[in-house]
Amino acid sequence: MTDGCLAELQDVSYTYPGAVKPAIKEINLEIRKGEWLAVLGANGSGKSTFAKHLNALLTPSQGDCFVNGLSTGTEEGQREARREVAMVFQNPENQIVAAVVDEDVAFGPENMGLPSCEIEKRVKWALGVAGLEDLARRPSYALSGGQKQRLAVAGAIAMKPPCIVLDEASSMLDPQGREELMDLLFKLRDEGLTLVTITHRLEEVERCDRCAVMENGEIMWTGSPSDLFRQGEDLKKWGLEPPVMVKEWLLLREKGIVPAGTGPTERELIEALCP
Amino acid sequence: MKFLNHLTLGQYVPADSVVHSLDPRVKITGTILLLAGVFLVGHPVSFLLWGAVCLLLAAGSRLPFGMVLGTVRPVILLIVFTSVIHLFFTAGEPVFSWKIVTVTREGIDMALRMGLRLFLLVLFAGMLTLTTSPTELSDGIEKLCSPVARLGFPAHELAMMMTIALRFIPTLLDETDRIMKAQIARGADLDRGGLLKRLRAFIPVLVPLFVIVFQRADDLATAMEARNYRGGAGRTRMRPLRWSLKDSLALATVMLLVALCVWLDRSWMV
Amino acid sequence: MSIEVNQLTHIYHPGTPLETKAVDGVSVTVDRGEWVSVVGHTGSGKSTLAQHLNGLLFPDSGSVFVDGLQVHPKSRHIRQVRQKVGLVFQYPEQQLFEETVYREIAFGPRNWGLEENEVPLRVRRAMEMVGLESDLETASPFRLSGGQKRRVAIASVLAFRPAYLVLDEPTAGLDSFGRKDLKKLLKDLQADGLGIILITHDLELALEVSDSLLVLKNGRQIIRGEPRLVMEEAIDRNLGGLVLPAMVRFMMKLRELGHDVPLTWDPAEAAEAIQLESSR
Repeated sequence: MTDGCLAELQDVSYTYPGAVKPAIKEINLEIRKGEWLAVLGANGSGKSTFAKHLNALLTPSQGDCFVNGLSTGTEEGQREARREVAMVFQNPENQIVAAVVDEDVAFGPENMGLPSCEIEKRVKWALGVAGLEDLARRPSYALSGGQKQRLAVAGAIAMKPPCIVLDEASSMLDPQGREELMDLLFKLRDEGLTLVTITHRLEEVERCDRCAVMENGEIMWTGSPSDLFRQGEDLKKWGLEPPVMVKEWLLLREKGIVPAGTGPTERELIEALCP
Repeated sequence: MKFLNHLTLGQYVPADSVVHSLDPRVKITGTILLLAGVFLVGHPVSFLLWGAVCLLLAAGSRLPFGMVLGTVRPVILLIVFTSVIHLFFTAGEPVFSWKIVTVTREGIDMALRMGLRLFLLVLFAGMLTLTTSPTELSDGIEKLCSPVARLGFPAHELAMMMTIALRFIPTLLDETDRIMKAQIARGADLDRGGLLKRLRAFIPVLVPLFVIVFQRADDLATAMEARNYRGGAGRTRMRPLRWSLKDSLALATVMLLVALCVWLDRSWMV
Repeated sequence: MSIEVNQLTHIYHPGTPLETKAVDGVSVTVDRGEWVSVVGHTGSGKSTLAQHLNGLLFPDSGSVFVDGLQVHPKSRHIRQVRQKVGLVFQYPEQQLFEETVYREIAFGPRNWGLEENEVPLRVRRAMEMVGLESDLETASPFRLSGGQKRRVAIASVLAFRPAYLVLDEPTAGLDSFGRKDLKKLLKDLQADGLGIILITHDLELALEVSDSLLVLKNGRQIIRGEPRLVMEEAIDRNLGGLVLPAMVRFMMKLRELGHDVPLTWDPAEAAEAIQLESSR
């Protein structure tokens, strides 16, 4: 494992108990410190299974997963993984444990056995980062979907992990909730956290450093987001829908209205059309 | 929209009051003592005294008395029903008789007593849940059970189960409402027919609820594990329970109060 | 034959400190074969409005008529109304409960007293409409994939042959192919003569498919009309959390920079317009 590498999967395959074929096959992927990696794919491509290996919720059937050099197959490695990598899941409701907002954020630090004054500090800080300070004593069930997911993120960062994995965290949110969540992720990114987002929405990967596309349990492609957009119609074969601006970019290029070298983002198209 | 539901179930209402700030262990033990006190008295004046205690407690928790009374609403029928049973089925000196129905003097006595006792029981229990958050309650129970926990009793697990169950009550109510509406929209008749028919009509509501609840258990367990949950061992608390002088005074007051009321009651009953 | 909503108002928790007007004076008409979308942020009242259309909720003031039958708590025709207006809730797969797909889809028609010998054909037809293979009839609904479960749920509503179909966020949680399939299904149903009422916070989707739209904000209707009209009105207003389609925002920026282009949400139309303008 190279320096600057937070986690690494080497030839990892995983088969769920009772399943006939593996959910992921011979995955080789590195998570670098400070990067924002997006893992994309259609439903059933194995991206959630992959994600759960990063914090040792699952351990490989074959191959090895390392977090900070320690194998998640060992107890020491598992503990390291849980410390280094926090997870936020898809269903906002089913990951909130406590009836009151600040008590839920405290859940993780409490499990870590931290002293109570430290927990209080972290909870206040995490709520502030997530923009939920005014809701600290509210009942958790009364929050909107977007607020609940931000609460889940607050609960994750309160454990001060260097890396957060979000497994389809925006899938069940309305547009406003999605925007709130994405804004929070941008903030965390600026603070230097390593982020891994699992999604099937290409609209969310524009600011990522790297994208990996999975299909049928295997990694089919890795590269930068703009390279991903340039795949154009190929995205459909992986079960991904190009964002509407990318479709427009393809059409404008086809018609020769913009020069061939123009990039697939709104900004570049505007620049090309209005010199 | 969902607020009113949870209020009437006596769920926690935060406020800045003396009672709210008491250690949950005091409140739990105190409530048990008060309940014992309620059931050990029989004289009408004693019940008035207990009513006054309740009013004082409500004042001390800065909660409108109407809200406290509201905790009785869901069980009012049960209380009336129990009283009526006592009214008609207690043996003794007949006061009124019509065909096979007999009302005795002892019956009237018992009916009133049981009715008032149950009423006060619900009020005191309701005050407990109104002034103590689910987390505090479960922490309190866990701490109180810690002597037995050392002998293997799963105090922490039970407390955690209680917290989680209470936290999901409003969510489940919403989901039940949604599923009922979805089935009514498909022609299910959930509000007509005899008892058996209605019970059967609820299968389309119960099965989906079970599915949701089981999925939830799975998801929640995964999320808790991801947040480093490993049972009670080594767990600290953000707001650890700290016993203070105020708590000792409160508990002592309750004990004295109960003792006094029971003694007075004994002397009046003679 | 249409659904007519007139000045509908619905109040939650009347007479308490939590009293709120979930829907405030909303009016809309939906004809058979017409597609009307109700768009708004979470809490705008759109779901509350939807539940009046099949008599799950009743107006506090104003009126709702379905094919001439009034939706009123004392009406004797509520069961008829519920059969005429099929309501598909958000995440409808959560309502599945039967042992087989067949019984699940037969549930609705049986509740409305369909002759037992007609049930098999009805179930088969509903499964065909949503694109489920007939051999799934005997499968347990709980063993199907998420997408298949949703189709079963929709089929179970289509099976009792409603004249109007109300769908609350039907694309929630679906990927792009699921959305495409659903759009096609609804368009086919519309062509068959069903009145479609789409409840959504996805303004882009609503603009693409509707004959007319109703935009709600905090219970009130703020814009109403054909997609193009709604689009023009929407750009200058605060829609309370609704997001303008990315394409429209792009065209707006071009306009600001001096290009004479229409405000459209369709990439093909946009490309053609830009090409036309640049050739001039």
